[in-house]
Amino acid sequence: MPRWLDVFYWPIITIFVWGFIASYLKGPEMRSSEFLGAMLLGAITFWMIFQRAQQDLSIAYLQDIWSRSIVNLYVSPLTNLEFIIASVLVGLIKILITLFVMAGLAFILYSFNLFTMGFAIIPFVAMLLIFAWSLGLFSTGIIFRFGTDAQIIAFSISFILQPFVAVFYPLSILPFWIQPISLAFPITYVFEGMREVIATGIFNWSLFAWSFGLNIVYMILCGAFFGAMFNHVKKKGLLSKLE
Amino acid sequence: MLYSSNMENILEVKNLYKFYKSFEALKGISFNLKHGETLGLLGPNGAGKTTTIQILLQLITPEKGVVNIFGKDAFKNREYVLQRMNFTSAYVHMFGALSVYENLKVFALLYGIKGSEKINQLIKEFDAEDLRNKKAQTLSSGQLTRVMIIKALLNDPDLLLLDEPTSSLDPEMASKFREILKEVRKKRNISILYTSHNMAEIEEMCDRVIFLSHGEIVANDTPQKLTQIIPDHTLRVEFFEKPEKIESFLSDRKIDAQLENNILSIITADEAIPILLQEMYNAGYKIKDISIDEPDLEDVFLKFAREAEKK
Repeated sequence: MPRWLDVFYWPIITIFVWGFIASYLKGPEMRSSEFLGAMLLGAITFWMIFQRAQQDLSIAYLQDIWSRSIVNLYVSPLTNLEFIIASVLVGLIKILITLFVMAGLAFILYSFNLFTMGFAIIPFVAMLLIFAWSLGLFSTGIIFRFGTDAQIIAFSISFILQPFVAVFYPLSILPFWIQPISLAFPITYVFEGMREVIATGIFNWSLFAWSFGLNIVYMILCGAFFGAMFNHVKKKGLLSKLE
Repeated sequence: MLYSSNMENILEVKNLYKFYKSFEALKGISFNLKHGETLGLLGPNGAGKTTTIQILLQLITPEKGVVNIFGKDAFKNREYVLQRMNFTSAYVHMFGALSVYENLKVFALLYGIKGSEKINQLIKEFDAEDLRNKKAQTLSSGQLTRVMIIKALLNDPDLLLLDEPTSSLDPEMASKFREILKEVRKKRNISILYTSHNMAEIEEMCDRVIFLSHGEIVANDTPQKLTQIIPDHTLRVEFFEKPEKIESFLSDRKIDAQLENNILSIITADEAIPILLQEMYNAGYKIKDISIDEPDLEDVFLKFAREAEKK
């Protein structure tokens, strides 16, 4: 699978993402270079936060699988929920550091102050993190089920979504038939909302509500999927064979 | 033979079944482990030992059956029972990027043990001071086993599951491990479920042994009683010179034997040995030395393993 991803998937995704960005930039609408710079820097900062949070949860499990130490965790009184909460808290610290480093560099190097978004940054980041952790649970469930043969999913799942969730361009740039797919992901609303805040300074509560509602649904579905995969692995006796 | 359920039992397993598609890994096994008892779990590869241990540790969900640990349903009281248990195996590793001390600290915290006193005490007991700051990924398998044993004793468990704990240790360290384990057992009246391919170790450490074969318990008794399953002893008789007409002496008595360098080896029942020796003496054979090998747990293991192969 990694070879197929290398040969086909990544080039296709890259050309789509950059193609959509190019379509947006050459569009008829007049945009200031200041707005474009802020939009792109804001988008990449938020994207990095999302990607790191998604990978952190899966990698926390993978590190124990790689070192063949996962059995030690599961023969202790530690529960899955405690492990997940601990991984999320450690991830949160790393993400806060990432956020401040990226925001600081954007300010020093390009005079872009991420924090001019004001309080909006908090709900935006919260929505990104909740979806990232849901996806982290989903990809960990896949790794439990298929072992480390499927570990590529921990690193690639966020990129699979990237063209659809309108990170670097507005939703309206996407072909008409892709837009309903995009709207099924909570972070599409975050990136749309971010652009609106940068352009108008107004926080769109409706976009936030959609993002929040969808996040609840994804959290429940991904949590249930993780639980089902974990139970499946215990039933098949594969937990101690994960490597 | 099954032991009856009573308050002394720290572990009770009843009618435990596990299937992997059409393969029946466990076919309704039942056994118990008394407070302070050391129980050996033996059997050839694929007999169901690992599956049993992993069910007790809740790494595997059984199809059917009851597992009571410390008087509670283990599956409904996971955290409670695991808090009072621990496990080590030659096949489980530690988090490679952390030092031995850091790993032990993490595991201690998982069991709610704060401070470093317990870790330091066990590191000292197991002569592991030199390993303290080494990264776990740099340890040899023997060193790793030693550290894993320290990990297994961190929470002062009431029930210890040991899956081939000494398989990577040199004889001196394995002996030391057994001495420490005996000491821990004596001090704390700990219950132990033990698997090993070292039969001498099982005989030394276990009060009782269960033999598993094809997912069934085929024997459950003390090592001494199990060795009585095999009635035959090996009698070795060394003569001063080549014994004349020994072939006819043996064939008259329908005895199979091997003669090599004036040493006659005979496999026979325990009670037949004095009679045979008396008859040899009466026949005028000049005997230089006599030795009798009693059957041990390895012979019992081989008997069950061969029977399992025939199935």
